Amino acid sequence: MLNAKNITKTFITGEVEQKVLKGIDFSVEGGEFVSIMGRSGAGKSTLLYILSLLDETPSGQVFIKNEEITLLSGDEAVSYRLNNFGFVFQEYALLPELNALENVALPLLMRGQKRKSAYEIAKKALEQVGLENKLENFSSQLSGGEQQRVSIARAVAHNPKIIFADEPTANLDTQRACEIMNIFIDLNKKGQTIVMVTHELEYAKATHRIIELRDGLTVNDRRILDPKMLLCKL
Amino acid sequence: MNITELKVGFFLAYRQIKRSNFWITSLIVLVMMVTFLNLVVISGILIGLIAGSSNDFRSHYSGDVFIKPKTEYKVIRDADKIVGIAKGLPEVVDISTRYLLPVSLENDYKKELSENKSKNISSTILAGITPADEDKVTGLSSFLVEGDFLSEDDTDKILVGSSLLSQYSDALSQNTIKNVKIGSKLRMTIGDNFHDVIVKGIIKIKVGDVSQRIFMNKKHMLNLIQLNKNDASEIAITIDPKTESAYIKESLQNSNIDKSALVQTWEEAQGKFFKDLSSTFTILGNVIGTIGLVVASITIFIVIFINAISRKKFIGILKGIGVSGSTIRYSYLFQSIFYATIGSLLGLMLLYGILVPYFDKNPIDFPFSDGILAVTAAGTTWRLGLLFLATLIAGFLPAQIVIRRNTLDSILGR
Repeated sequence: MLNAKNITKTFITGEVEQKVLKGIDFSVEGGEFVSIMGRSGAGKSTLLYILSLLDETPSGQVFIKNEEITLLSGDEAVSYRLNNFGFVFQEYALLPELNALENVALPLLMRGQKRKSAYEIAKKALEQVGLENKLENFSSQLSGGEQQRVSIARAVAHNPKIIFADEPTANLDTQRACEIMNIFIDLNKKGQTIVMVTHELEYAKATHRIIELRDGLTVNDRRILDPKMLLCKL
Repeated sequence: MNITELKVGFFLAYRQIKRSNFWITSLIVLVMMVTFLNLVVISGILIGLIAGSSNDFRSHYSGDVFIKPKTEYKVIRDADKIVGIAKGLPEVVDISTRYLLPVSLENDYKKELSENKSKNISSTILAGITPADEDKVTGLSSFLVEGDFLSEDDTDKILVGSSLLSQYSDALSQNTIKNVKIGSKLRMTIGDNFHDVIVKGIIKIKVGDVSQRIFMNKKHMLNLIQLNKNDASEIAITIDPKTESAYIKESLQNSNIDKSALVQTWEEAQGKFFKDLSSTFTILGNVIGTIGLVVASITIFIVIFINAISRKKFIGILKGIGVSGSTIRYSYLFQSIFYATIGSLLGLMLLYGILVPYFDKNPIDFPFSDGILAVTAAGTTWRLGLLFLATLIAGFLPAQIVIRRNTLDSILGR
């Protein structure tokens, strides 16, 4: 499904050059749930931004089903993201002027869906994450966990090939984080490919595979033999 | 142009306006309204200043069609025949013929003068009129500030223009007479002859050609001096408002009227000076309007730019979830259009609902005219178009600046 070759990234601040990624190679199969781990500054999020085409200045190649997407121009990349990717941000990234339903429906509307059908799909996606009673709520009227669920609903509503999640549980308490993880696990069980950045080993162990980064290099790539749903305390 | 992008752009703009701070939106709309009024009203007043003067000239002096002697003639010959032809035209409503003579008018002429005192005298034009006809054409009686209007039977009575009287003129005015009241007996000198006349009324009007004259019953004037009663100095004609002055002018010219008569439309009668003055004020109005437009464009630019910069992160998120740059641009353009539309609509309502009717009823009291608010549908539409164009550009540019930023940098606030 996804193939990354020799991904490098250097940040230049004044005369100081900092090589964050030093040549990463890996692939993700369809239906896999992969977690990327590492210490702060290891380059986890940077890698995720490059894979998801959010970083418009990468070095290296990313292929999706043998199509090199790193060659796409700015507008083409936006369109590609719309049609193939879902993205869950650490800080939810909901649009404050739209309610939950509209936030989820927006990518569907962009894809040319009729309003009625876009809202129906968005409603189902929100039901899937347990927010059927908060459709009309704006982000300011939702808790952090609820906002992240809306963000997940937005990422999955248009059936993307891959969902990229950047530390989706980082801003949540243990209970909410556990619930969010179970949503991801549930989605994956239905066949959704997910690439997630996390620094929580407990959550990473609930995925199929853990890729560990250190100082811009892959230091470990191991499979979890028996990923399980997490037991969240009530 | 992609319809989906337009629709989503509109959707985003609508939601953003709906959820925006009421007072900020009101402030932007107010700026747009004031800009629109600045564009229309300032030039409207400047043009209206001249238009008011021009309207007064037409309504209270020249009529719609004006006939005077050609330069090489002193009077219009066969004026009765011209009047007869004019009366035969169905579009002609009223006609007034005037006979003009240069005269001097003296007060206190019985008093003996001390050595260092000059005579209380003024040079002016005597207009012989048929009072009822003149009143129909120019509404002269409505400008009486003292006394009464002339009747057909008045013989030695006159109306005096206020510009000839010291009490109605400023201290610097020359050629004024002092101490003239209703009933004052004045000495009017025509050539070598003099006649005593009594002031029956005082006329105050901002049309100089009227306020610097004295008026007398034409019948009596013809008795005072030997004049051909078929001659006239001026003929003022009012016509049906639906008829063009040029059409009546042409009809009269085609009717073999005397070669001494020069037929003019009211615009021609006002001369080149009026036209030049009007053009000058139009240019001035446009210059001031353009400055207003530039200021408004900068204001809108700043407002949209601050809005876009403060929403930089959300613009990044929009791009991140797959909303195209064009869609975001459309959303900002729609917002600009919204501000321009609401501002202009409020401006139009204020303009045509309050300002124009108010200034029509209460003209601005300028020294030489009653200034009205001269706004035309075409002029207003043109300025509306300019405002919209400026708003669109001012809305588009800042959105473009923010959209062109790196998506990730926008999201991460870098």
